[in-house]
Amino acid sequence: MNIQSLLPYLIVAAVVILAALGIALVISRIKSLKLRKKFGTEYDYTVQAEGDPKKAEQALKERQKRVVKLDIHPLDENARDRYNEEWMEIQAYFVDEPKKAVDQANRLITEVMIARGFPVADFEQRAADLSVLYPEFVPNYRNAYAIAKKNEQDGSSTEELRKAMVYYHSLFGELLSPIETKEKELETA
Amino acid sequence: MDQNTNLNPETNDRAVQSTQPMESTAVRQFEPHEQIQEQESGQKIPVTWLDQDEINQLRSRWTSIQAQFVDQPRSTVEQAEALVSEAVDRINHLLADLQTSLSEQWCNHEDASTEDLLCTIQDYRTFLYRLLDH
Repeated sequence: MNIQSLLPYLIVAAVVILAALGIALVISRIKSLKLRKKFGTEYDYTVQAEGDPKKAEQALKERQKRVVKLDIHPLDENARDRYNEEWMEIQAYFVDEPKKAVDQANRLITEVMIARGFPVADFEQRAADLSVLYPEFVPNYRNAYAIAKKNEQDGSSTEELRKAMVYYHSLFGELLSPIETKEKELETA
Repeated sequence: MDQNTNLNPETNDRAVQSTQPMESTAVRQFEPHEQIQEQESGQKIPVTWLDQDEINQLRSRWTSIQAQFVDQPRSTVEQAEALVSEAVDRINHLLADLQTSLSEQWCNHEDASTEDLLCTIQDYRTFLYRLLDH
C-alpha cells in the first residue's frame, strides 16, 4: 500500500477526529454556558477565586451535587411569619444600633438556612450552598458580609450598614418564599 | 419633681412620708384639702396627657415607621415628622383644654372663697409641675 491509497482513509480519520474534537468542544462550551447562565456572577466570582475556569466549573458542579443531596425544604407558614416578624424587629433596631442590627440580620439568615435544612457551615460554604439555589442573591449576601467585616476592622458608614441590611433582606425574602424554592429545587434535581 | 409627684393621688402615701422636711410639713398641714384637691385634680390633670389607647396607637404607628427606615430613610423621616406633628397637635389641644378648665374654676367667680382659690392654685401648681416634668 502506498501513501496515495491510504490518503482517503487518512482524510476520513482526520475528519472524524476533528468532528469528535469539535463536538467535544461544543459540548463543553454548552456546559460552560449552562453553568455560567445558572450561576451568573457567582460563576465569574468562582473563576476568580479558583484562578482557572476548569477548576471553577468543577467546583460549581460539585456544589450542585452536594446541595441536591441535602434535604432542603420550605418553611411552614407559622415559621415564615415568625421569622418575618423577627426580621422587622431587627430592622427597627437598626435605628438604635445599626452595627448590631446588621450582625443580627446575618445571624437570622443563618438560623433560617439551618431551619431549611442547610448544614451548619462557615460563611464561604454557606454562600456556596446558597449559590446553587439562589445564585442571583449570593452577590448581595457577599456584599453585606463584606460590609459587616469592614465594619469590624475600620468601621462602615451608616449608609453602608443600611445597604448591608437591604442586601441581607433580599436574600432573606428569597429564603422565606415557598413557591420559588420548589421550582428551583426541581430545576436543580 | 418631688412636690409634683407628691400631689399625684397614687403617691399620696409617699408624699406624707417625704424625706424633705419642708415638703412633708406643708403636705401634713394641708392634708385634708390636699386629698380632696388631689382627687379633683387627679381627674382634671391626668398622669399622662393622652389616654392609654391613644398612646398605644401612636406607639404602634411609630414602631412600623421605624422599621421602614432601612428601606426608605428619607420618606421614613418624613413620616416620622408627620406623626410627631400629629402628637404635638393632640397634646397642644389637650393642654389648651386643661388650661381653659382651670381658668373656668375662678375667672368668672367673683365670689370664689379663699378655700376655692386655694384648690385652684394647687391645681395650677400641679399643672405647671407636670409641664416642667415632661
